Amino acid sequence: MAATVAFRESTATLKKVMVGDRWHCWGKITFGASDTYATGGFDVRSQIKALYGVGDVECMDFSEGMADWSGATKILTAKCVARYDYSTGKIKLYLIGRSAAASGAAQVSEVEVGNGASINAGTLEFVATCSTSGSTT
Amino acid sequence: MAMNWYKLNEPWDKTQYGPYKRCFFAVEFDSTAVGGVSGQTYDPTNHYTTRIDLSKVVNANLFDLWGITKVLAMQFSCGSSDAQAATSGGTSNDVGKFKASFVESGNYIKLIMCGPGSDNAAGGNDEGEMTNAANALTAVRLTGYLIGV
Repeated sequence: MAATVAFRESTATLKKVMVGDRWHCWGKITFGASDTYATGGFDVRSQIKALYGVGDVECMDFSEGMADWSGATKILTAKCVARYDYSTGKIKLYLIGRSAAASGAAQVSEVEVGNGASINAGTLEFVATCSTSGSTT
Repeated sequence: MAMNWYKLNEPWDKTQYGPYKRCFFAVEFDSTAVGGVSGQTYDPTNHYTTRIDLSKVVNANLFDLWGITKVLAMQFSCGSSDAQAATSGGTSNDVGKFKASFVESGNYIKLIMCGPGSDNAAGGNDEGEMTNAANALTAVRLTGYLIGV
């Protein structure tokens, strides 16, 4: 993927809160113009740690995916969902829905978005659950 | 109609959330599974019928996945559109998105649609429930987390 993965902290006054012994951090990810996806995902750990002053990024919940008609592998009328892979610290995108309108085939489980798929139209909102160990604050 | 649950965010798929457990999941729907058992002959009457009980599963039991005994709440992300499925109003869902809501009192989930369908009718599918007519739900997949004990 092209280099620009832009993280934005939540603009709310409350950007993170301690629940039990973990930080819950709100924010969103946007992408640069003409950005495309490369299989394997993109790394987010260092940016989240720096933005929120937290330790390890344990898990992430994404409220929405995104659709995009452009690129080498079209998401079309369906959508892709984002998932955080703890073992690599990367966010990967997976296809759901149908590959094209009514006549399209249903996506089988766990098919990653293909190399070259356009993602510059997308935005991913997230809640990240992070440990305090290694916190920079 | 049955569901296939699996874990997300491993190894942090289950975390303590105050006195409760927060469990991340993805769920798929199998409209060809009869009585919750996959691989059996397709039953045209076995479509979505206003509820899918949590007990209707084709893989590991939802409760066994995380060692819980009761689900108190569920938070779903929106799923994809699917032009081969429709709401009870008959509008195919090739523009809107499917989502679900959990009914704690009955231990089941409902499938609903948000956004316009193929007719682009404003508000026509506001929280419209999926019809119980023949629909292929194989393209519908939802993610989210549950709060359980």
